[in-house]
Amino acid sequence: MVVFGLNEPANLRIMATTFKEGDPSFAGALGGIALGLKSYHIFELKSEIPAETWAGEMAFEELQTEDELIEEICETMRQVRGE
Amino acid sequence: MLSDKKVAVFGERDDVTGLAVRKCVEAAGGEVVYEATSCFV
Amino acid sequence: MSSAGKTAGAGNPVIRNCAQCLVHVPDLVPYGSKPWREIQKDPSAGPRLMEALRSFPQAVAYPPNQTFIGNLTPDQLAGTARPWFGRDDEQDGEALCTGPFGEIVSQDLFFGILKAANVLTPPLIEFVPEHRAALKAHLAEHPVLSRFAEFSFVPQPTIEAEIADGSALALRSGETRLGGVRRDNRAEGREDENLDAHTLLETLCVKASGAIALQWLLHREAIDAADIDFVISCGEEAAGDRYQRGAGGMAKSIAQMCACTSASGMDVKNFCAGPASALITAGALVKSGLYKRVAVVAGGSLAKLGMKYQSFLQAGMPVLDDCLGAMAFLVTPDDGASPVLHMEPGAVGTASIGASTSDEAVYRELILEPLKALGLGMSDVDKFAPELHNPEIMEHSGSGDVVHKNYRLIAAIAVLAEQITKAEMPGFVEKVGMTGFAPTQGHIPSAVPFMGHAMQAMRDGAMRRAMFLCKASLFLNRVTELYDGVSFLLEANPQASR
Repeated sequence: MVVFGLNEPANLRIMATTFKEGDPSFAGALGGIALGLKSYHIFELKSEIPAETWAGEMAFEELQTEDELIEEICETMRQVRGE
Repeated sequence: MLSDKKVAVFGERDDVTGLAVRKCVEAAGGEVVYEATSCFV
Repeated sequence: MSSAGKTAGAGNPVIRNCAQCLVHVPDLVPYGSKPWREIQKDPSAGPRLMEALRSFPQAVAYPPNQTFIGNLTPDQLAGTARPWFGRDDEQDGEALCTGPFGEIVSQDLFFGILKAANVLTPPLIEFVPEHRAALKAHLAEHPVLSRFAEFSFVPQPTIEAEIADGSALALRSGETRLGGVRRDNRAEGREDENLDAHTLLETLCVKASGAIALQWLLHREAIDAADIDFVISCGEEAAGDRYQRGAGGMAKSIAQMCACTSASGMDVKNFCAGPASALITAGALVKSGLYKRVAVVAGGSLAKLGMKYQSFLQAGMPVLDDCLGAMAFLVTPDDGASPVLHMEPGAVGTASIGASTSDEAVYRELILEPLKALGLGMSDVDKFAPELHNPEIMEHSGSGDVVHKNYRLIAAIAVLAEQITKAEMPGFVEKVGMTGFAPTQGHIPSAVPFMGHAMQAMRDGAMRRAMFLCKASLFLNRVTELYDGVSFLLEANPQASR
């Protein structure tokens, strides 16, 4: 599986789709090759991460990122996974 | 969900770095097999 | 404005002057790293790129570029409606190419300065005979840069054959071939991949653009070149040959070109935080009493030209990363008037290796610790200057507004330090922030383009303190995962109000 730390929904969509289905533009090494990998953004995985680690590594990142953007990121990842 | 999974990590310097993501994944029992942090500037 | 904290103490150096210049080089954009690689893979990308390049009047009229040289303040830029590109028909380009901080230099002037930067025989740069006179004449008329017109052309076999065999790069103006840059073909240079035409063009661009900034600094300060006693260069180039690939020497090369005959110098390397590290080093040299007039110089990056060109082509926009940036700063002992660079113990922000275990630890150390050392809080700082990349470039290339992200980070630290609440973050960003305006030239946009504006505001009594915050992606050297941070505080000279 893939875990992302980048916060641009458009880039996330392209990269996550590529890992799942192959390059959507059909260019490049992964054009037409589906790896079938699931992608997540780290913000989605809060409940999986021990609280102390999250507090030390991610609390600051959460605070920096606007709530609406966090929601948009999570929604983008869910859409690509087809949930 | 992450434990015993092999994970590829893609971070971004101005968002969440690969290092931070890796620490989280490893703390949850995942194995990071690829890590990159891009710097778009 | 707050009156808290220690008064800027005796013994601190000042930033006495600065120069902020841009060099518009559309025909060098194909030699930027990204365009160069893409055109090698697909030659049809070349003409498509060339069609999307801007003219000199367009680059001059471009509001972020006007902000870089000081004709607009960042606030005025923020008040200018987007899109910023495509405004050449609204202004007289000719009149605005100089500003309070420096100049937007045209390509044909720059080609002459590149020629002047050559010291080798046979020369690394040559122009074909029919273009030589005009190149030199144009430069000889320039009120600030005419000193660089003292070069001669040597009779040489034409460079055209070397361009044809690939050992030289063509220098063009649109469709017209003006000349070329060759590799070092002498016995010592032959077969050294570090001395190919592309690398040498990159090094020459640093030297020539750095010299423009240094010359402007001397002009603005109205001092003799011989009055400078030390020069520090802080770009991201690697100048040297196979055995000493990045060993440097750029500071003295640039200083020599400007006839700074009394100066010695050295290069400081710290990725994008180079300028901040260099300014702090300069400050320390001055504070110690070793030197009295230290110039910090940053030449521009050929490699970063056209980095985002594909995004611009896709959006049907002109290529906006078509300028080299070049800056110079003068650091001297306290003159009772110029803004003070705080160099008290603990006053400079660092990111110690031990703290670099988490982002939060890094930024607490970088922002909060130096303020604490000075008895200050974040509310005592009027403006924070982080990386100041032009958002019009960054947003269209898919990175988002990097400047805004940095301000969110600064605001997040303020929340963690319990100086504001989460709800107050947007208001805080509005108060202490500004819009970006610098081209994507690596070390150039890293906080210091605000210097000219901050100095002006402090001299006018409109600002007391500004914190300059630089990040450096050290991990790009592939032998660490660290990134660095360097910060410093500039304060209006307390003696100036008396």
